[in-house]
Amino acid sequence: MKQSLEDEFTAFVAERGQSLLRIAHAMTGDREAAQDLVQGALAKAYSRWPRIHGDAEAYVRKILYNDRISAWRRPGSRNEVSMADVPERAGQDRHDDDVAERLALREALLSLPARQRAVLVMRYLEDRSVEETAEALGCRPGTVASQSSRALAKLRELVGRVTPLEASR
Amino acid sequence: MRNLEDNLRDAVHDLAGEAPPPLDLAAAARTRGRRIRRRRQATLAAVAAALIGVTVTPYAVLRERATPPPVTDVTPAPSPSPSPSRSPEPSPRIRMLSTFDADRPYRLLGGAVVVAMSRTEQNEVTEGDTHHVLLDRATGRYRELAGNYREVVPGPGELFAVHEGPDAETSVHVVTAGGEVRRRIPRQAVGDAPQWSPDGSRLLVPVSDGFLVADPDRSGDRTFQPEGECPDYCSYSWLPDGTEIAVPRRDPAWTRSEAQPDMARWLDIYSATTGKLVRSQEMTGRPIGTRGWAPDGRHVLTRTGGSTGTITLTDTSNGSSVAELSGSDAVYLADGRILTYDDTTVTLHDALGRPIEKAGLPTEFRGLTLFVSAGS
Repeated sequence: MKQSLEDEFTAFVAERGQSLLRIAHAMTGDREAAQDLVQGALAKAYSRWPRIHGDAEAYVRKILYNDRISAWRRPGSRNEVSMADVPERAGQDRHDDDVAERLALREALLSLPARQRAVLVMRYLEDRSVEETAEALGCRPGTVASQSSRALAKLRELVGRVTPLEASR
Repeated sequence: MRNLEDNLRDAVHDLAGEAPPPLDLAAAARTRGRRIRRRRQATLAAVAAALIGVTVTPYAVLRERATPPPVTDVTPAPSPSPSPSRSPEPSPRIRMLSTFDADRPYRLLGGAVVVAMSRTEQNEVTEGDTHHVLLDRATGRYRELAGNYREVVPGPGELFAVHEGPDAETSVHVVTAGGEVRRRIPRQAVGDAPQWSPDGSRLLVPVSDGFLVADPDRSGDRTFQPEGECPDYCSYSWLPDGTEIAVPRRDPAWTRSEAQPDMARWLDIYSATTGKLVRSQEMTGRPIGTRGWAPDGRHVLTRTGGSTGTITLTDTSNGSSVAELSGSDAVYLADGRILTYDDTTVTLHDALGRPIEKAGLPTEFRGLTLFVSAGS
């Protein structure tokens, strides 16, 4: 690969690496898994850099999301945390309701299936539209909407189950 | 207290904020990327040799390969419209097919022709490179497709539709066997492959907001929105007369689950000209594509679930199953018989789905995805 393209790849990783790791960590909840996911996506981008460098960001983000959800629907291959693993909120006395709910939501988020989590990360971390999310995930906008709706319902159920704030008052 | 979505946004940002620092990302990606590239280059050469170079490669055909005469259709064609009464299944005759010759169309049983072959080479991580060899009908020879495309859809004429892959990430291209791009349709095929109309004059492309009907020669595409919701595994197909399009509709009573794909409940038929819903019929499977429709439209080959499910011969009048067929793909022949095939075996079935002739493919076809035309 030409030196100018090598330099361009280096600059791209330096500029966007942290942003990609944030997305990967939001989806995996695990530092090592996030690094591996980003490295894999960047490796694929590097192997095709002369072709894709003009739109590298979109290419890498798409790989990132699709690699993460590629195990979708394969029984036994999910790594979500079971509902039983969602911890009780500790120290409710020390936190107000919002902080406590954020903590519970964070754990509940990691219990969702990978595809639902990917949809929420695109929508709530990246502020992508339903249409943009659908394009990146290679599905229909209706599927994004239904996945998002189901994920929110599940989060409400999980958070409600472990944090009966109103009931504790 | 703020609403759940506000707190969810904060929680997602909190999680993202705990990402590790980007240490040595570029160096590690370079190492892995170079490995991917080396493997890609090596496999490209191997695939080209396997697909094109077979003309000079000795091989063994199954166990007892006889000297292969040119494949000719010797079985009388049954009526395209099977009677509902079932008779005992006849025993299929076995024959061995000839060696592949890249300089002439490769014929299967019943006059069907292999018009394209694809092989996906898996390399590091999950990405695979796909190589295609296409039949150039003008010369009768097979050529490797130039360009990096994930999927190829042979048309009834000389043109192919290709989509996905780095060269058509967000569009569908209409190409010749040599890879010359005749038209770029600026939409991404979503959920299923494009489908050529039976006469090859139009291309049906499933898109995010419905389906698009395109002319392969000129712009002016029309997009239509179906009234129902497609199941997770959707499929679009032209009916045999080329004026209507079939789209499965999911069963709204089916509880959606990450573990199991949606069930279809109906097959909706739309006008290809106006996009209006013409009629609906009960059907729990989804047509395998335009190639899966009987010439008289009274039967269709369907699947449930993903692309590897069993192929079912289905009565379109009531959605009932007539027979289950073996093979990873199938095509209807013009006389109403059905050819099923995978990379080792092809089987000719009568109009009731009963096997009547079976043949083995040479070992060079192992691992290839075949695309078969009813004949030319």
